[in-house]
Order: sequence, then C-alpha cells, then structure tokens
Amino acid sequence: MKYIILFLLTIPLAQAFTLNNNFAASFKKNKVKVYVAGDSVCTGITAQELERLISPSVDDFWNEVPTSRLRLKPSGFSTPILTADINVARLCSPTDSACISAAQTAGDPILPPVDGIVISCNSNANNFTGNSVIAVTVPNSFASKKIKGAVILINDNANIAGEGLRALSHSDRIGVIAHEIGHAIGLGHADESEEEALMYFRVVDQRSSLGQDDIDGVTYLYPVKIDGCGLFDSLVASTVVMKKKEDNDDDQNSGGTPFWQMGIGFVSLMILAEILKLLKRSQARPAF
Amino acid sequence: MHFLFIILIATVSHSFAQSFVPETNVRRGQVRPRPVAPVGNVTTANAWDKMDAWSFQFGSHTEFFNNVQSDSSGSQRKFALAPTVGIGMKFSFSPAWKLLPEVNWVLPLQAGSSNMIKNLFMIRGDIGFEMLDWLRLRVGTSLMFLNMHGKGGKTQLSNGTGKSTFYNPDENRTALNNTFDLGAEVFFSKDWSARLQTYTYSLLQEERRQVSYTLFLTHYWE
Repeated sequence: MKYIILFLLTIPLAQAFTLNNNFAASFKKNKVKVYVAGDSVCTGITAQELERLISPSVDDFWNEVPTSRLRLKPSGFSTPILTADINVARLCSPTDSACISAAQTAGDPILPPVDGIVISCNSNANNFTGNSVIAVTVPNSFASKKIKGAVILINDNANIAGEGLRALSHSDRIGVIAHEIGHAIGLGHADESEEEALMYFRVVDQRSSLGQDDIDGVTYLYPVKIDGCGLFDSLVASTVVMKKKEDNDDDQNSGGTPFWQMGIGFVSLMILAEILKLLKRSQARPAF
Repeated sequence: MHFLFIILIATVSHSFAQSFVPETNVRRGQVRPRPVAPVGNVTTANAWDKMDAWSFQFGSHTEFFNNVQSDSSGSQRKFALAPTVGIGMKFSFSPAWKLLPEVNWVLPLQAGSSNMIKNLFMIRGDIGFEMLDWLRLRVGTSLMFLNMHGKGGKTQLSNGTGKSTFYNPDENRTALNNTFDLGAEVFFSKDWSARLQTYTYSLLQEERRQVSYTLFLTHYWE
C-alpha cells in the first residue's frame, strides 16, 4: 500500500501556462465582445470569412471551460476606427514606449485603444517580427490593471512567407484565431514541450480543443465563483451574486443566479427532504 | 430579494431538520400522536445514530473527459493519472437507501517551469441506492474548489521568429463550481469497493457542459 501511495505522489505532470504581462491582467467583464474591424481589408480572405471564423474560435475553445467565468461573444463588425487606418497603422501597447517612439519616428499612425477584441488584417511589416509570423495580438487598452480592449492583427504583408492565414486550412485558421484570442484575454505561450496546448507557439497538425494548460490558464485568469446544476448552486450562489444580471458587464462572478434556477434548487431540496422523511417513516412502521 | 432568500433558506433548513427528527419529538409542548409500534422498531434518536460506516477512498481523477487535447494530432484525453484521496461516511436510512457524504482531494500537482500548484477539493454528498448486494448506484452533488497557486517569475519562450518574455502566475486563486454527480459502486468484498464517480459541470448550459470522473477504490469500516 505504501508503495502505491509513494508512486501516486511522484507522478510528474508538466503543465505550464504563462501570462503575457507581469500583473495577470484580465478583462473585468464576464462577457467580452469579439469583432472584425468594420474597415478591415484582407488579401485572399474576405472580412465576412474572417468574421465566420470567430464563432468556432470561441465556442469550440474558450467558451467551453466551466471553471472560467469568461464568455466571449462573437459580435460581427465593429465601427471603423476613424483616427487611424487599422490596415496599415502600428499596434503598440500603451506601456511599450520603444514601440511608440519607433512608430513616431517612422511616421506610422498608432492604433487607438479599443473596447473588446477587434480583429483586422494589417500590412505594416513593423507590426510583425518576421514574414513567417501569421498574426500578432496586443491588449492596448487598460484600466487599473484590467484589460478593456485588445487588437489582433493578421499579417497581410505582401512579402509574407507561405502566404500566412489565407494559405491555411479552415480548421487551422480557426486554431490561429483562437490562439490569438488567448493572447487577447491575457495568456502567454505554453511551455515549449506542450504541443497539445492551443497556446503553443506554432500551428500543429490538428487542433480540436483546448489543452490542459489552456484550461488552467483561463481558469486562473477568470476563476468562476459558482456555476452548476441548480441544486446547491441555486442557494450558495445567491449569497455570492444575489442580484447580478447575466449581462452585467462589471460582474466578476458567474453569470448570476436566475430566479428559475433558484426555484429548481429549492424544489430539489424539498423533494430530497421529503424522501428522507418517507424513508424514516417506512423504517419506523411496525413489521407484520 | 434578500428577504425571500432568507425565507427559502429557513424553509429548506426546517424541512431538512424535520427529516432527521424522530416522530416522538416534542413540538410546542405536545407529543405528536403516532401509530403504535413495537418498541424494538422505533427509529433511533438522531441522524448520527444512523451512521454505520466510515470510508477511505483513493483513486485517479480525470478532468473534462474527452474534451482536452492530449497531443498534437488532435487526440482527446480519456484518462489522466491524478492521484485522489478522500474520506466519507455512510448513513443508512433504510436497507436500500444511504446518505453518503465525503470529501476528496486531488493531490497538488507541481507543474513544470511555471511552478504552478493545483489543488482540487471536493465537498460532496450522494444518495446511494443498493440495487444489488454488490452494486450501489449514487446520485448527488459536489462543491468543487479548484485552487491554483503560482510562485511567479518569468520565462523566455519562442514567439514568432525569436524569443519573448512571458510571466508565470504569482497569486493564489480559486474557482468554485457545483456539479451534478452520478456514480456506480461495485463491491467485491464486504469492506472493499470499486467506484466510477462522474461529475457534470454546467448541467444546464449545453455549450459549457463537461464531465469529469474519478475511479475510486474504497475501504469501509464500521
């Protein structure tokens, strides 16, 4: 027996997600909208095709984690950014002074802060560290260590090696967008031994769901407070998120407990209590 | 709203309390009339008297069955070796029906370069039905406390054509879920059983519904 226990205690499990900033920034909202920029122009892939990639990228990956409070919501096209052309502008984090000064030196317009997650194509080679880079993501809007918005730029440079996103299969395109959304919500790359993780730095052959690192990462950044089946959930959650609404943007707990769910919990407990009473009475009845 | 919630809690608590109180209990100064029964058949005085066994269980927990990618070719994880231990109690309210509360702990897993430590604690209860001499079916619920603690620091990882700095988590955070649970327990002796215990997350939300499970070996002693 002691050998079994010793064996179980020494099982090595390598799991290692990282964050893309040193203060564990995350969206404050439970529901985060994901858009394609209304004025995005891509080569070889239409904005409508890009928009159709969002739903599977969030629903088959990030929205499937029940231990996370985050709900990504595909929201169509955003209104165009008027102060800079998103197809050619420079993307800099507000804290990246080197990027900002380089953009100013080059005369590149800098993308203003956005709300939610905005996806666009972009042909400014300075945004990408090399022609083999398919996409880059930078949270560019913060409010007291919380992310307010992030921009995902798809490399649309004329010199892009292998022709970037447009050359990938449909499933690989979904994997790339899902990976970049992972960066947008605050995650960094997974350990380099973790090819199964969506946040692995390369496109892998088949991407069907999140890896354990991705699940741990999104759970760490967005831990759900209570979520469940409507039994204890209904009662416990009520003490935590008494009057939160599903769409309350400032809600950091779960989506809130609707009345009908409380009702199910209440009725379930009543039924349970009645069963126990009946059991007790049947046991107390005299034997014949 | 708060008032309504307090009434709900009070009603449920009262109902539960009544389910454990013996028929002979005094209410408002009067003894409730009850059928005449032989003395030897009267129920015992409180719920603790119905506790007839302790249990110790150990096994392996698999999180989110068939919905976690396990390699780069797209395979889904069916089984994970995550050691789990727990203790429980058995209350017998009739020969067929049992109440089975327990606490389980999926042991902390030291995680690679990030120095993440992950603990999963379960506080759970089942109603057990003795379907056969050797088979017990369970239905119940759990509160799942998933705790993660990071030790911080930073690491250099590949990013595009070069390397970039990424950061390891450095806080203690806990996610709390409530699950709907089903289980089947097979007895291969009086004191030992093997159990498949499933936990369904987000039962009412199809897009987030996930099933985890634990394979347990359980030892009972009275």
